[in-house]
Amino acid sequence: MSMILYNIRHRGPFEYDKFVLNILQVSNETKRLLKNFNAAADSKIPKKQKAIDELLASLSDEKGVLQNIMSMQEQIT
Amino acid sequence: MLNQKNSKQLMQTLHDSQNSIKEVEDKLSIIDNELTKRLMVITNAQELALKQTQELQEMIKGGYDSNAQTKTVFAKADIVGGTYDIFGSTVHPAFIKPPANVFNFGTTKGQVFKNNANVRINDVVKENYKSMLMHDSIADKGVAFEEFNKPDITLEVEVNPDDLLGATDFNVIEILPYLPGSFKIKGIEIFTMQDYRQKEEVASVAYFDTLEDFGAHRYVLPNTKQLWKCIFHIELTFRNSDGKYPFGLKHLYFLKGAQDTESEIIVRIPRDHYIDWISEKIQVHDQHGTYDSTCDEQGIKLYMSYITNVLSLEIATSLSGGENPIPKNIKEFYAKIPVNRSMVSLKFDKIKNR
Repeated sequence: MSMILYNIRHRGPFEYDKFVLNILQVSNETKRLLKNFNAAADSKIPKKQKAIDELLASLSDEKGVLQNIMSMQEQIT
Repeated sequence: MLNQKNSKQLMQTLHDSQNSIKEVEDKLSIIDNELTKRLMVITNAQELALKQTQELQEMIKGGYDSNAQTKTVFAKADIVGGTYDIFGSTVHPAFIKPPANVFNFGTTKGQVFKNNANVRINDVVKENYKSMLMHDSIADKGVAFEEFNKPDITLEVEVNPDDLLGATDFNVIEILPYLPGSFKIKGIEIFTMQDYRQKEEVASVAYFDTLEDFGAHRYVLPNTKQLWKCIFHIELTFRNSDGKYPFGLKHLYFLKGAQDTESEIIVRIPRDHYIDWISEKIQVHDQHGTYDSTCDEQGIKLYMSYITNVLSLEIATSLSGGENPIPKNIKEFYAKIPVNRSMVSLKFDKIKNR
């Protein structure tokens, strides 16, 4: 859920109120950003990292593609 | 009632926001670094796979050596019996129970890294090099992988003797490279704790056998050593399209485990034709390199039959002076091979068709 962002004018009255509102808006936005990021970092990103690790393992693990090619070369030479 | 914040509290709120942004930045930077490293490994692995496949094609185009059919690569062989363990390219004596890892210990929540050693490559210490000592099951294990400008490198693992966290005894070195077949090991020097105490400058244990095309491998020492420092002299043989020499290890374990001294493998060796005789001369590829030997020297015995775990009808091998024809029409035979070190392959000098 996105919050309401006030279009605060630089000039005019209520200077201090606008200053306070600005700070609270920034604080709310960063809290939301951090919450969403942590949720992604805890769920989506580890899944994608795991997928990349599995791809890497299929290439270079002890039973991976490169190891298999090496065994084939050993057989022929 | 809501308390109105004073200026100090407001500034603290702003400061907290700044910290949150910094936290996101730091996490993103870690994710970015890890992904970049993994992509670097994958790119190099694909390039190496392509190169190796092309080499393989050239070898086949150049004429498949019929004598190559006399070779048995244990990682691909039909091992029908025996007591042994297998890891990557190698078969080696069987562990009696799961070995202990010098730099990791098991807990009910999984493996824990001791973090009591430094890893240097070309005398440069980097925190991420330590990842190679970490157990693969540890979640935040990084990628120890880099591209070098020169092919000769030294990899050094040094335990901090003031922060031992348990014994450093080991008798097996397990190496799993990211790019199997992209380097050779020209020597291994092992400094023991006794060397450390006596301030020795020369390693008390050193092996200078060149191990070509090194892949996933376990190196078995004849007896247990107390590790202080281990230096690997490595020559990188794969140069990528950027002109760099990539190198990295997924893991480098120093293991201690009692091994079955009576370990052996029974390999079925099939042929397309009936076999007339088999040479006594063989070529062995093991952890000491590739060298000529004989079945007798290696304690290898050949049999015509293996039924319900019983080997029978022993085959007499043939020396260059005289041939010992096999008195039966067989298209396969069984080799009983004692395993007292890591072995990669075995090649008979000749298997003569009938």
